[in-house]
Amino acid sequence: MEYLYHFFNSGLLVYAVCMLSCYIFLGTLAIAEAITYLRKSKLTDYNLLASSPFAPSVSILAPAYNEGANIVENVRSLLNIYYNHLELIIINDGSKDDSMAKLIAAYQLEPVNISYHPRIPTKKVKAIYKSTNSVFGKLVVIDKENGGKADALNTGINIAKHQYLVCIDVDCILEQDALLKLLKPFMESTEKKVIATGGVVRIANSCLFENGKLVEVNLPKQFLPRAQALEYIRAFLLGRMAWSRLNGLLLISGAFGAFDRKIAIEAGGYDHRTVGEDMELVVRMRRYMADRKLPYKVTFIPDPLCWTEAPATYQILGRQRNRWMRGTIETLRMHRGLFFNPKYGLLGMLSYPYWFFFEFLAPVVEFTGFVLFVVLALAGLINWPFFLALTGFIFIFGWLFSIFAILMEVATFNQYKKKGEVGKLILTAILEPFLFHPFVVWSSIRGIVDLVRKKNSWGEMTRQGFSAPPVAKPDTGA
Amino acid sequence: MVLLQIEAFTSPRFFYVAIGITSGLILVLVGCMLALLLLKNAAQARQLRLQYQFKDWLVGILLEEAVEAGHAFDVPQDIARLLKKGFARRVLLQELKSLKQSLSGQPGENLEKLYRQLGLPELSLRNLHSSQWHLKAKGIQDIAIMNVPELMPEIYPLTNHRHPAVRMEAQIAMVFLQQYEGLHFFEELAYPLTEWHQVKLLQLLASQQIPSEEVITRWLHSSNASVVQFALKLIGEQHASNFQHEVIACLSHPDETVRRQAISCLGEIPSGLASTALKKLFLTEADKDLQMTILTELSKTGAPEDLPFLQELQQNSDADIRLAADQAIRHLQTQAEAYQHLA
Repeated sequence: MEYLYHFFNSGLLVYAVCMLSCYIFLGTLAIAEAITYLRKSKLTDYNLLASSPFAPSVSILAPAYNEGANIVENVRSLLNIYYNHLELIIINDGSKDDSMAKLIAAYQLEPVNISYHPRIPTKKVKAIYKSTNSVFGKLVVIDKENGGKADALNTGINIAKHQYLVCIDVDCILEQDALLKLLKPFMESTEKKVIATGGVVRIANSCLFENGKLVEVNLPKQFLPRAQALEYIRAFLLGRMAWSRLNGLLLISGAFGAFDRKIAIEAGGYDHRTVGEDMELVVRMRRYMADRKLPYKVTFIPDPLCWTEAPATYQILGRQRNRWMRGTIETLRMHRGLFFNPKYGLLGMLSYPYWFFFEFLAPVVEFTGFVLFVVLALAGLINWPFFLALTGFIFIFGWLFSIFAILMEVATFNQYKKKGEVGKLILTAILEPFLFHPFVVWSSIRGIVDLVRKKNSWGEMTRQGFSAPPVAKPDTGA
Repeated sequence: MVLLQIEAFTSPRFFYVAIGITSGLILVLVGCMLALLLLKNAAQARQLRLQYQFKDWLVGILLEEAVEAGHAFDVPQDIARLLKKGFARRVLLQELKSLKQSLSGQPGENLEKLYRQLGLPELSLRNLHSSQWHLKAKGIQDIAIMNVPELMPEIYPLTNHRHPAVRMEAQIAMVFLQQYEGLHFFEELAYPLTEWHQVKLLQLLASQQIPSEEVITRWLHSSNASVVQFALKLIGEQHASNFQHEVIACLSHPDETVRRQAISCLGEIPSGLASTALKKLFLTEADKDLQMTILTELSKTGAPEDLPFLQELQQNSDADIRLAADQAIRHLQTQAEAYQHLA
């Protein structure tokens, strides 16, 4: 029994040491990658692509479900993107609201007869629309039966004509030069084919927008979106930058990523059986290339190019994190053949195990540890000096990692320039382990339970919408 | 035994030490953050102040008319004093570069003269000789933008530098300074040109007359596939139909990217011969993607003589090819109707 207790204790210690070592290793790599990227970026004139006849052609795919409240403005924002060889495909995934009617009216849409070969099976397409107004010549709207996000994206892939696909959430606001930056890696590779590029997603809550363009960056005023702003900085500026340097990136956010259309189709498109379709596609595309022994790369652009609204309530955040956990497990299960499989190189020996141990298992270990602590505490078996020292260290290490992420943000893109914003971020980092992280762990555990109970709902995301700059009102003297 | 040894590290004392070290690191990071913010803000404010101080003086120089060879621009004492400091010189160089990129003619020449008069090429040269790739690349960029052709011998060897950013800037600089003539580095190019790089070079050469047939033919026979690809892009962009035979020859190139580019190029210089060559390639090409590219080009440039070929493809076992043939036929018919309507 004592031996088992020691084994459990030591196992946890080894797990924690491995995890902390991974974080330190990734942080170090992220610094190197950020420096290289910024130095390269300073030398680059991105406008080169905007008007060149040799720029690659791009199809933006934006699925929409019941987005009637903001759909017209969202599409206008996407039409504003600075790029020539572009088609914007909006996929109305059987919305029950007035999304289609609003789009038809706002963009003077008419049904057109477009022949295409549906290489990926999808739900039935009811009609394809194009605008009669040449100003909206880039716009294609697909009206289809409801089949979920993956199915909608696959419909878009079938109809898309262009070389690269940029998949985004319709309510995301992109920077004007987003595509110019996102597509550059595809044009830079010679020895290894770039199959996908991910972009940073930033939190748009409290930011100001005008005519679909970001005009003022603000740190979210509410705690939950602010904690997510910090979490995204950590995930994107540290985690993904480092994995990109290792060419081990497994996840490109569904909110903003670019893919080689040919490879995406040959790999089979999005899998509608999982709610983590974004991660699953990247893993499958990587496997497709690795199985054929084709040299490839998945790259990442750290510039803040895409802004999205983060959940502002615990209820919506819980649904999102529940879904993310289910998506992670489903993807890991579908590709379990990669686990420590040397045939897949870094993908099998490092990326997959990292996700298994530190993305999927971490909340399980944390939750189990908490339950164990309560049981042992009630039984009076806690070694309090040891417990307090260990807990203190874990909290302080978490703060160190967050502070390091904030330092990286300040040193690189420094988006939060207003007085006091960095201070608020530091304060958020201190509060996060008490007010945010436990809830995320709990939502992940609920995700695992839901998966076991085969509850596979997407989970509705209610959004508040973006704010426009305040209009100066005439002083009425009241 | 091993497990018990591991446990030795789990004594509270061990964690107290770790907490102390981690807390110290946090304080150091916060200190760095504050210092960085202060330094960044101070540098930005200083840069803005300098830009403001340079503004009127630079406008005066831009407006000066043609000056004699030995003429020196007037540098006010306060500006001369400022320019003794490295930071101010770097800010001025950045200003001159951004102005030069948007100005040509006399104002552009004035900026070049000022750059030389103030000895700023030394700053660029120092960067060029740096061992750090980003400084080297920046130095090359400065020299190209500020038009210092006498430094070309220093830049030329860097066109084969092992760092992609350095060799790309060096190659761009050669074209910046010598246009087509600068491309003689193609003869010894050890690395492939990326697509991005090709777009940049094509942009720089857009307004220039295509070089001699001999030069282009030499590039088309280069052992570096990216040079062949670049030459094909150039031919296509300039609609140089006199290279039709050479382009058709490229359809049998072993490199897939060259064959693809040759197909697109023939779409820009259409002819009966080109169409026959594309149809012939379609039947022998194993890559379906290239077959689809051929059909796309045929739909853009095809003639009524291509209809039987396309109609035959409507019976093909591959749905994508049938669909592309359908689209090409429809396109050709629409075009024919439009011509009839005009006639």
